[in-house]
Formats: sequence, C-alpha cells, structure tokens
Amino acid sequence: MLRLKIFSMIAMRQAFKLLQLPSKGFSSLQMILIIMSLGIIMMKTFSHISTLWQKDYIQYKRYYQQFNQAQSSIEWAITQQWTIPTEHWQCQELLTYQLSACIKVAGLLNGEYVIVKGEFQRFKLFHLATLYNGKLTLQQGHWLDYCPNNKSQYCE
Amino acid sequence: MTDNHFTGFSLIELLVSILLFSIVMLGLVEFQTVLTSTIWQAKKRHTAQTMAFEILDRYPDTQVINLPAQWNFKIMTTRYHQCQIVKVIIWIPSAEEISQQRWFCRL
Repeated sequence: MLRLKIFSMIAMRQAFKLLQLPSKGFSSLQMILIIMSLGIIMMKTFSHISTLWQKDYIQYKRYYQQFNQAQSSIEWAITQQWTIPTEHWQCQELLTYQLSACIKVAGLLNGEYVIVKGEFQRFKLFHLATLYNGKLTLQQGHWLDYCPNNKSQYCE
Repeated sequence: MTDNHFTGFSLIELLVSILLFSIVMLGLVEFQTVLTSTIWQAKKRHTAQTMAFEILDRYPDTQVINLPAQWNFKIMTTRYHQCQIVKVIIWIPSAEEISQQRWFCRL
C-alpha cells in the first residue's frame, strides 16, 4: 500500500513536470507574438478603413466636379444661339472651359420641348427646355442625371 | 536534464521580450496616429466638398450656410459675357483648401 502511494506520488510529480516543461521559458515570447498578431490585425483593419475613406472622398470629389461642369454646360447653353432641334443631337462646345452642351427634340412630349444635355467626362445631365427664337429657356426643376428616355441609345 | 538548466534564461528572455514589445508598440502607436489623422483629414475634406456644393446650389442665397467653427469660405465671381463663374473656396484649419466652381447665366 505504501509502495503504491509512493509510486503514485512520483508519477504525479513526473506528470506535473511534463506539463510545466513546454510553457517554461517561452510564455513572454508567446505573449509578444500574440500582441503583435493582434496589433497587425488591428492596423490592417484601420488601414482598410482609411483606404475606404480616401476612395469615398475621391469619388465624391469627382462627382461634384462632374456635376458642376455638366450643370455649367447647361447654363452656358442658354446663352447660345441654337437652330431648330431635330431628333439628332446638335452640340456646341467651349473648349477653354471644357463646356459641352447638346440639344434635341424631346421624344416623349409634344414638339415644343427640347432636351438639353450637359456633358463632362462621360457624366451627363439632362434638362427640359423650350426653344424660342434660337434661345433656350430651361424648365424649372426638370432635370435628371440619367437618360429621360426609356431607350438608352436615345441619349447617346 | 534538470530544471536548473532553464532557470538562467528567464531574465534575458524577459528583457528581450520587453525590448521587442516596446519596439512593436511604438511602431503600432505611430502607425495608428498617422492612420487616425488620415481618416480625420479625409472626413473633414469630404464635409468641406459637400458644403461647397451646397453653397453653389444655394447661390446667391448663401447667408444660411453654417460652417463648423474656425472654417471659412469665400465666394469669388468672374464675368464671362452674360454668365458669372462662381468659385467657392473653403478653408479648413490644418488641411488644404477646398474649391468648386459653377457657371450661372440666369441671375
């Protein structure tokens, strides 16, 4: 009985030693590695968020610039002299200020209305207007930033 | 091999760990400061762009525009035949200025 007790005590001691050995001496380094990994993950996430913010900012900035230029083109168009509009785009440009405006008959309404298109870098703005004596009069509030016709080729 | 074999390394290992930890933490703190600043700047510029656009949309009625504290804006106009080229510049503290311009021909 005593021999068994001594044997079990030795066995427990050995087992305890075995359990202790692998963690001995490396715990601090392991902690550093864990902290480093967590830190890197955190920084990666931050970096990703930062990139998203920057991209978002650039997109908005481009949109505002394109909108302003397209709107400016439409404003400039009303000061220009235009001939009778047809079903094909009739365009005028002011290259110094990168303004480009086109007009055509509004297909969805009766013949007295025209569509004015202001364009800048593939961004298009459309406005409904009337033409009298070669001068355009814009219809208040009737603007769209997409093709007002159900067929996209109508706006190309 | 006895336990005594491992005991001699713990202090050096601890010192190396502290050194590594300090270097890594300094790097991380610096990196996070730069990132936070970048995000903050981008957010401010984004708000300024939106406000400049709003000012142009409201022009010539710009009295109701409320900019954040210490922000300033200026409206510059240039004539081009019948049109006015309106340029809005917004100054943000510790960031670059923001500007947008639009033509107005019906004023």
